[in-house]
Amino acid sequence: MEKARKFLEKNEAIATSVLAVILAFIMVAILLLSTGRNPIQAFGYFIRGAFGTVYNFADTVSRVIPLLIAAIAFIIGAKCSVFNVGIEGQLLLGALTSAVIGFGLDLPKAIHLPLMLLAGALAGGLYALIPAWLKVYRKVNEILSTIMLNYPAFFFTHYIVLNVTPLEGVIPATPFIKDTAKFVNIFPGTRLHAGVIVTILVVILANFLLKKTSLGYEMRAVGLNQEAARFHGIPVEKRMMLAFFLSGCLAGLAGAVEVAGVHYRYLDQFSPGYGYDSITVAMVGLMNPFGAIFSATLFGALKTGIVDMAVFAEIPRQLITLINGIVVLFVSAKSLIRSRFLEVVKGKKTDALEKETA
Amino acid sequence: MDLLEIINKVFTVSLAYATVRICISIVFAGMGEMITERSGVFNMGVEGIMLMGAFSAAIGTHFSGNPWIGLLTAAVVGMLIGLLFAFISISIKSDQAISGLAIYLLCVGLSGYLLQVLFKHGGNSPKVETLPIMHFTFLENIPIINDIFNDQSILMIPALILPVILYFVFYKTPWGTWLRAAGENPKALAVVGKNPIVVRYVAVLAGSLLAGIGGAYLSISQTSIFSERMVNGRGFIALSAVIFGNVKPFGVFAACMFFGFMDALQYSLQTVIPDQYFPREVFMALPYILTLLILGGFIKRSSGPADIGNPYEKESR
Amino acid sequence: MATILEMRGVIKRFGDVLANDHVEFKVEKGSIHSIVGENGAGKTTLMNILYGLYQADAGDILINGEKVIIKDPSDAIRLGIGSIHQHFKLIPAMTVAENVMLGNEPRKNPFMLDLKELNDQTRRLSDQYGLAVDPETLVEDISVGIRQRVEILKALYRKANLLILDEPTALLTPQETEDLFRIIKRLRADGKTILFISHKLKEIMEISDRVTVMRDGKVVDTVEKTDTSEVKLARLMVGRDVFLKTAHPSKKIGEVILKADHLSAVSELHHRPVLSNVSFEVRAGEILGIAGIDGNGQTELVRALIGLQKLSEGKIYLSGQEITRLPVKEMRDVGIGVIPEDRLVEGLVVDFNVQENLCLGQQRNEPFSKNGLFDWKAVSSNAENLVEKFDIRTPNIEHLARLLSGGNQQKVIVAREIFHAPDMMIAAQPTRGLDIAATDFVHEELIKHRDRGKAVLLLSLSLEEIMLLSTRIAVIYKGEIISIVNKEDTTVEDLGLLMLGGSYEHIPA
Repeated sequence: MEKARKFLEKNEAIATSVLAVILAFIMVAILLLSTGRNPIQAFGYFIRGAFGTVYNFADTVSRVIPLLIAAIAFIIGAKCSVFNVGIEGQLLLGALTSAVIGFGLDLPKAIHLPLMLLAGALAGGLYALIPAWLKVYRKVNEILSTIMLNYPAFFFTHYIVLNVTPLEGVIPATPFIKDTAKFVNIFPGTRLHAGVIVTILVVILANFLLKKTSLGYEMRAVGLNQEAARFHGIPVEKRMMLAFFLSGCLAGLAGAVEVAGVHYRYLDQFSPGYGYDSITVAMVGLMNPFGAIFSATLFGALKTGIVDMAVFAEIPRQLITLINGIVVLFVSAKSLIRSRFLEVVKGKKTDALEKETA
Repeated sequence: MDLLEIINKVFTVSLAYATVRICISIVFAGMGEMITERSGVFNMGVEGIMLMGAFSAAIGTHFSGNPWIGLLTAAVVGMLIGLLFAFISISIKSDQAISGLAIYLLCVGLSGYLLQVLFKHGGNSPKVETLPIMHFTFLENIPIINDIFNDQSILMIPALILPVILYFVFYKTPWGTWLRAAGENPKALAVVGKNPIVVRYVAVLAGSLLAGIGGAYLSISQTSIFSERMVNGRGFIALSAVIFGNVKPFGVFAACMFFGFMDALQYSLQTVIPDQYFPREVFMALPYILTLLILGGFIKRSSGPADIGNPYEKESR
Repeated sequence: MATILEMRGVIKRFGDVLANDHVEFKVEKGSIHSIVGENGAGKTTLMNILYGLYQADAGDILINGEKVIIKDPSDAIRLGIGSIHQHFKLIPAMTVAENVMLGNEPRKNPFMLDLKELNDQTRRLSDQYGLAVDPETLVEDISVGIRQRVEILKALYRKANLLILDEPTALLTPQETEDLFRIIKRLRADGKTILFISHKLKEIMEISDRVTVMRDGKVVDTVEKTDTSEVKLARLMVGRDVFLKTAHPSKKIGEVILKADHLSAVSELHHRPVLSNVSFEVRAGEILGIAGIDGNGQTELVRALIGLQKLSEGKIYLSGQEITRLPVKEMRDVGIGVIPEDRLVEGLVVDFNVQENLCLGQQRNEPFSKNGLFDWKAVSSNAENLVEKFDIRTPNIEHLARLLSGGNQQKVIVAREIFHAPDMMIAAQPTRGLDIAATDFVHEELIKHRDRGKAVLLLSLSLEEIMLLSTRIAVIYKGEIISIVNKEDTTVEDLGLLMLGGSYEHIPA
């Protein structure tokens, strides 16, 4: 028993995460039961829908892609104590920018596709510099500013699609991108596309940045103890701006990848909330790029599995959003007590300073 | 059409009527959030609470046939969610921005899910009864006032009275003083024997109750249906209004009216002139951009409660 | 005269620390009773217990001879105890009157405030005690001295008979202090009892009737003012246990390594000077110890020396070269090492593991990184090396720093800084909270560093430590260096006196 307790203590973070997910699922099971559904049967449909056939599996993976990239966008920011809740808006801007490059230019494939992705990433990164600047130089809470900025981004892209870019047909969208800008489909009959390679690259690069560069070391130090980082000469503000920028770039990239691989154009309101989901995925993945793979798979699976559940067991799709909400609630309540420790310690020190600076 | 014609067609009394109509929801939420922020707590989940308020009102009305029951349901549900938020933010002392975000996500998920479960189709609830429209005979003969304020929802009356009541409460009653003290320097309140934690809890509950009503207005008065995306950022607009209005009753009320006016204006422009002349999205984005300009210090304003966002630590210096 | 307050055997513990250790004393009604002691002596904790902000773990409090339970401030207020805190508990955005009556506002009816009565009553109270404050001004618009009067009014409004003043002159100018003393004497004349908490001997001797001296959580003695003097009080506060231990003297003292030249700094928070014309030199092969009560500028001095505190005036030189405006990283790179006073907040990233912490500050330099790429092998081997050399007790180098004991955490910091062998080592409270073994370890390393021909600046709250390690000793008081002497030429009592702002004819200024 003692051993188990010690194990839990050491792996407190994992335990919290797993517990949060389990609790969320239990709550969901209860909800299902209360509305007359069979949770076990539902679960069965879910597994089948997500992984049952090769087609389903490929579809699941295709949904994992934007979730994973967006989650890593959040993680990069969070590691440096930047909470970028504006991934949704940056993602939309990135998608739109890349779609425009995609249909507007005529280039050989070797250049067109990378350029498209780069443009999308930059768009997201640049948009993220606004809240970054506000946070670093004006001390504006970035959770508030990034959420606020999601709205103008949404309105802007909506406007551009409806009024600026040529409309083909009834659906609000940009024209289709040229073939030279598309990700080749890996698995005909599914949505799975070559963007999965980019995704894997992103995971590897993110991990490399964080763990294998001195820059990553400094960013992590800032995220864990800003005061100590400053004390040892780490330029805290510069690192935060960088983290924000990178986070925005990855968010934009996520949007671009969806355009290049799934929709082949910017479709108004194509994002089912990837930006907000990314936060949950990142938290459940313990803010670790490789952990994010697992949680992104879980949530991606939810999105495909839910179809079967909806069709066969009459379970509403919105279940995911609910699970989303519950998980964030649990994880945020617990995992923040740890960060409170340092703040309280710092707080006491500041008080003592005030007292003594007399 | 030239500019003069446009102005004539747009700036009519019906624009004013529409403004009032649109504002009611925002005013409730804004007043509620103002109370909360005055006590030193920043609730970003207002959008979510409004959504759940709209949802609960529709549900309550649907199953009881009576919109007043619906309103009551919304108020209660709003308070319950507020209680959850208060517990996580005040007692567990989680970062208020993050717990606000969590509440928002939770509400979005919960409302969408329950909607599906109850009505087996997504998107909207069935149509429901609405709250009464108030017609005042005594106004009929007063020219402009009649067109603006007559035949509005019954909730317009509390919406108009709220700022006055709250002004009175904030500045002329002892509880208002304690509320403000909790937001400025909770320790000062503690040393005179009043508990700032209790004050904050009450403020959050009051705020979320009003936010719930603000949401209810949308589904059982402004329209007669609940749809998933109906709140559409109003909660964040209310947040902006509180900042814009300096967390003071008349200021926040004016800000709510201003943002509501923007919304009404953009609808009006939309009908009067084709879209390519006036990107209405600019109007819709305006509240957010203005708020950020204020937060960033580009537009001057006096600061709000000094202790906002900080959890209250009992045994610290 | 009657005894208004008696403390019997009061005990209060914070974790491992015994803040109040069987505290006992009596206070006579209608007197000015001072409680004196260094920071950490337990005075403020005791007062917080008396006012109900903390609860004692054991012991009794008697008011007017009767045992009382004080659960929270409203109990204290009911018993006639009023507290004027060092950190004013005021609301700047509200008026004086609103602040004075907060929580007990006069009402016209159950719902409404009586604003006129609010202002009138405040004015009356203010006139009665000669406090001269305008009830309708906002607190944010009045000076510190007047704000303090508002705090006093708060207590008087609640009919306090026993007033606790905690370090009341900390933020006052000399003129304001005089005014305060006048007010205190008037209150005494009115039959009020004053508890005056301070560490400033001159003031204690001027204002008190009786003095209780506290040290390390215990009451050392309670004496009549007429029976004591500044010197005697200093002795009691600092302790007469003789500190005979000293380290072996330095072998050779060389060039000036660090020169601080008229450093001055102003606090952004309070707009008051925190450093005034600080000048000193530290030479190779010596340890300059700076003694002082916590809060007299030590923190700011350290921060200034590494580039984190803005200086309004002054220059810093390292081996002859001016380094005043360099960014933090460069100051470290040119040869300044720091063992910071708060290991958890400044010295370590507790959620990093041991090896990561052992290269903190050097992470961009070789061998730890080359061209931006982090070399984990170099980091690990460095860590293994240091762990062994400095005997850091950890299961492995991937252990989280948070899980190490305080002593081992400090060892990590010391090992890291010492190994980098900076010409100038600044050690700020390097043994705070450490046990004997860890303390000895740190001391040994500092001596060794000195013997390698490096310079050490030691800031400590412990006179014992200063006496043990220093070659020369300086005293810092209110942001000024008021004395620099060779260790042989001074005594603990002299130093204690200077630290407390006392004056002593034989001390060279």
